[in-house]
Amino acid sequence: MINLLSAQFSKLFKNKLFYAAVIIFTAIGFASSVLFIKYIPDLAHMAEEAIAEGDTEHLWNTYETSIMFDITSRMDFHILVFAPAVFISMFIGREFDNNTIRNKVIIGSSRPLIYLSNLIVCFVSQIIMQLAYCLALFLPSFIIYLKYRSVINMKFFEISFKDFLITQIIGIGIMLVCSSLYLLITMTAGSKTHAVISSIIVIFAMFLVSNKINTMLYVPDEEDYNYYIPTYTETTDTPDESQIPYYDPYFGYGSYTDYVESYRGKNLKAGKRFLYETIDDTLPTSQVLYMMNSDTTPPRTGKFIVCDLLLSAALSAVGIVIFNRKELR
Amino acid sequence: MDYYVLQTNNLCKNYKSFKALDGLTMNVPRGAIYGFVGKNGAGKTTLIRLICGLQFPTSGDYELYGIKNDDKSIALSRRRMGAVVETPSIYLDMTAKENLKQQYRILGLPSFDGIDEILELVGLENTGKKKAKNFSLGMRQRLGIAVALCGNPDFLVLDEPINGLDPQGIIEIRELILKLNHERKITVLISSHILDELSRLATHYGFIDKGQIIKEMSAEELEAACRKCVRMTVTDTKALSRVLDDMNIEYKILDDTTADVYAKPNFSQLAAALAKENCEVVTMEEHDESLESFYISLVGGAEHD
Repeated sequence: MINLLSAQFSKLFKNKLFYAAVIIFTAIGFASSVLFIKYIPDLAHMAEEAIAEGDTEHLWNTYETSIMFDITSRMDFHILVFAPAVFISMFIGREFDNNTIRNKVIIGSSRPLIYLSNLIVCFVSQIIMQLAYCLALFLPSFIIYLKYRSVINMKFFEISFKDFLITQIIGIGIMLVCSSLYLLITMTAGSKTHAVISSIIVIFAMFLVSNKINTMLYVPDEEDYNYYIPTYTETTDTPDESQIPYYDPYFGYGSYTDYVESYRGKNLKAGKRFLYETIDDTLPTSQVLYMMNSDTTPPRTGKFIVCDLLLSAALSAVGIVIFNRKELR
Repeated sequence: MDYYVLQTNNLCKNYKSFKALDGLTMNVPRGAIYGFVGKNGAGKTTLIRLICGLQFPTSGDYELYGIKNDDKSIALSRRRMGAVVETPSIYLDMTAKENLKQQYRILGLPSFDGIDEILELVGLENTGKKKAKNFSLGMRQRLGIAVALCGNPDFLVLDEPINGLDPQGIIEIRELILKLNHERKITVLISSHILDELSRLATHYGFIDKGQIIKEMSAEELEAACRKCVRMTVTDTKALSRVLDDMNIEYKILDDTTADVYAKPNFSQLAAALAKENCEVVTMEEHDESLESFYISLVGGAEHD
């Protein structure tokens, strides 16, 4: 196993595609960061002018803003699932195209170990890419934060650091599932082109399913229609202290996420609800949508992580069984 | 110590309804260059894929160094073999040296010390930073063999190694195989349908057709079977036998009227001697069976059966 890992990592760190992917992730991180913070210097300048003019009465209310690094880091969660579809398929698929996978099998390397070493390398490559993204996102934001926090009221973390870490762990879970899924597709497809096309089709299909299930969980079926879920804006149009954060007479105080969450699946009958909720919790694409759309730490983080681990284990087990029986050319 | 490096027993491989191997039994002796002869689609590559562990037999079994294919310790036997199956398995965006380093890592070898020696052995020591994608077909083939030689194997499996090579490339590969066999005592299983080339290398032959070995023989036996001779058709081979014995000439009686005579006797004297024995010479023709015609006669015979 160590030999196979050593060989695969060596190949990874010489792979131009890998470096291209890291650069792309870095660029996306940097671009997201710049887009998010570009108005802050102007705001700080205006605040400084206000201070100079002695207008300090409403300063903190007027010039309050947040960098919210933790929220920003979730805005591009979808690249966690799309980028590896291409990278893993091409990196591992090449072994089938040039038949170098044979060099491992012929000398007696165990097929399950070949599979697992590929999984580990793919997973680590995803983490490196995500780190590059986070670093590129973090550095400009943090510099701006340090520079202007004395002038305007700024928060770097919207949620607690612990919750931020939990969010990142969910991200790692999603990466693990994606690595397992794309590796399964690639090791089964047996060619780079087939693997890339299949992986992209599968992930798009999963996003469609996630969207559909998400809709079903929050929008009542006609037959199951027994109550009306008011939209958030409907409930917050009229400024009301009790509605900031949203106050529901039945569910109490909470954020928008809490508000939406409180209605999750309540429009469905028990059996249907269990099925849809299970699929929604399990699919990495549903988790991505959730992470991108929510404004707090997901209330189902533990479930997400367990689902990720179980799904990854199941996909890997299926992949190992298939690869163990696969007839190589 | 096992005499045979590879033994297959009634090996079968089906692809859906197509029988690629149909009860194939063969034996590759240690130290041999085993020429695996058969036309396209006869089952040569299928057999090689099976013994390399790339595919699995439908039925039957094989032994590598005395270890059966379903034994878990077959992995240890595989460590002793190297193979080039059809096209060389190399990274085209790497140099020759990097390709070998990669294989060394897979094998878990502690240092890269032997790489230069292998490159020199296959004649790729001066390729420097040239990527494998810029290699000629012959160079790629030699690099494939070099990768197979990592780990110092004592059994090398080469599937059609001279396919597509120019005459110079063919000579280079031939010399390399002979060198590996003579100097490193590597047993070589080489499949080919270019019989003339195989006849310059092989010490043993296995003729395959329709997934079955139809004949296994040593190079000496094949040479005897393909020897130059005069094929005579006479009215009485017993009389011919007496006359040839008297003349101290080597021969082989094929049937009641036909015999192969392995020399060029004085045919006037022979005809006169046969006349005295009341035996007439009906036809007489020079017979020079090449490996190809021998194979054709074998396959034809098998088809006739």
